[in-house]
Amino acid sequence: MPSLKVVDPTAPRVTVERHQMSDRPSTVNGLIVGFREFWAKFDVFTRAFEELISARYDVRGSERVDGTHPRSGAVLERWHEFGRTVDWAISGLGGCGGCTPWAVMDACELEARGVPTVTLITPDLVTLGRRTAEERGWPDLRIVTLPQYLDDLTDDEVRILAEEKYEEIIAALTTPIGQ
Amino acid sequence: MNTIDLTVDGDGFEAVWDALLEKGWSDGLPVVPPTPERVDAMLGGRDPSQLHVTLGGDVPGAMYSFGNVGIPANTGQIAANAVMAGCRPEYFPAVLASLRAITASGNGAEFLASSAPLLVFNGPVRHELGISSSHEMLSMVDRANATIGRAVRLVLRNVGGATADRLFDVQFGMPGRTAMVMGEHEEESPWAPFAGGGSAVTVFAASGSMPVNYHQVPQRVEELLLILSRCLDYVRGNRLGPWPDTSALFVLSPKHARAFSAQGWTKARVEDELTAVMNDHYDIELPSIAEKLELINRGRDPHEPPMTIPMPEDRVHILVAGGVAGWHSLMVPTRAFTVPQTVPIV
Repeated sequence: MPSLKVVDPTAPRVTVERHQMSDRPSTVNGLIVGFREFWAKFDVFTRAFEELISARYDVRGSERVDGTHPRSGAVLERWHEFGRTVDWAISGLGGCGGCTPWAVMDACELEARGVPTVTLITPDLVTLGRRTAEERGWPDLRIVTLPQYLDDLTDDEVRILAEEKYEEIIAALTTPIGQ
Repeated sequence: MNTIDLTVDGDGFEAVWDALLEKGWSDGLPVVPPTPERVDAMLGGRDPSQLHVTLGGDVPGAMYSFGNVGIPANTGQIAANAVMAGCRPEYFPAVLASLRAITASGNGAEFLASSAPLLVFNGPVRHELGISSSHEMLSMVDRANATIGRAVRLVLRNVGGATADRLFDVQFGMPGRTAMVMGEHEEESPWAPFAGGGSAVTVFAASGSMPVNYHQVPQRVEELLLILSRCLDYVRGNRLGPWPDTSALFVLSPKHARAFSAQGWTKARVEDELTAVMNDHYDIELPSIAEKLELINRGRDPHEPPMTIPMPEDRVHILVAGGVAGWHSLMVPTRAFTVPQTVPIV
């Protein structure tokens, strides 16, 4: 096949060190779950989810932290305390072009601390979230989607959604890395 | 320069075009193959390995997906993109200066969101390169206008990595990203050029172009100013969003500019009057403004002073351009947090 010699008009992509994801727990029994929250109605979703896991497992406790960026001072210290306290965490919601990278960056930070995470993102923003994770060295970050219109749902509809997504989120948390 | 052997499946222009498209190097339009000979001609003796600008970098709120890593763009890569865009070699200094102007404006961040770099040329370079400042100057029907702008776009895409899956805010995109280039029609302006003292390029973060019509003869400048002011309702409204990230550039037609000048108005006076109108927007109190501030401050140390919504540094700017025969002007909404940058062309 013929070829044509051309000058490459691109820049080489920056090589990023690939990090090792945290070991996944086989169960949430005895663990403290953390909820990193941002987005209207996402707190309704996480509280419904907490009720579901509490009914099924012997959960040791839960912690909540606000996902607003940038953080400073006492708010930043609270974020660090959250990372030190929880055994696993849900980070969300990535529902726009700004809060998706933030949710992902927070999840990456928790994974770096050894906290297994599941990041919740709306479908249109999964690619952006995945890119954000890849370019920070976390290509295997566990992502589960929630509908874009979460904030348009009634609280009852959000609770039904939590039931529908329950198994998928637990699987994303507990399935061993590489599977 | 890093050369590669591009595999071409077949003969003729279409096969080469398909191969370049397959590489992901195009903006969707045909590109000129960047052969070493063409790139050498574009470089004109410049060192292809020389670092020219750094794209991206640690720009809050802009390019998260780049990992906030600055990407160096060397002269050879820029020349290859200028070839692909269809530039003549003599356009290359204008491309290089445009990239310097963009990277001086928030390091290019604002041009990767909902706006496009509007490149405005002043001085002899307009005639030397054939950059149109008159009829249809923003329709990209002149080679210099079209290809200089496109070269910049291809550099942002191919070197900076500004593709849709990597960007922060691509909900709509912006047609001007293909190219948005004009000269100021200095010869028909009653006022001093936007950038005097030789050939230069100024970059604005433009997010549209809206015609402003005032046909009355004779021209009453008070009425014209009122109409221009009313066009700022868009800017004022968008600033209630509640982030004041829109500003305005007016491209006055020579006739409108002459009407002001004939009544003794300086350009600065028109700009001042319009800036005062644009910035008078906190008379409406929306609950969302308080809510937004509460949201912004949630992440801050409560012992720190709370953040308030800042006023942009920018003000209304005025250029004179377009055909001489019409009583029309343009309002170009711009990103307010990107103060226009002017770079000389050498």
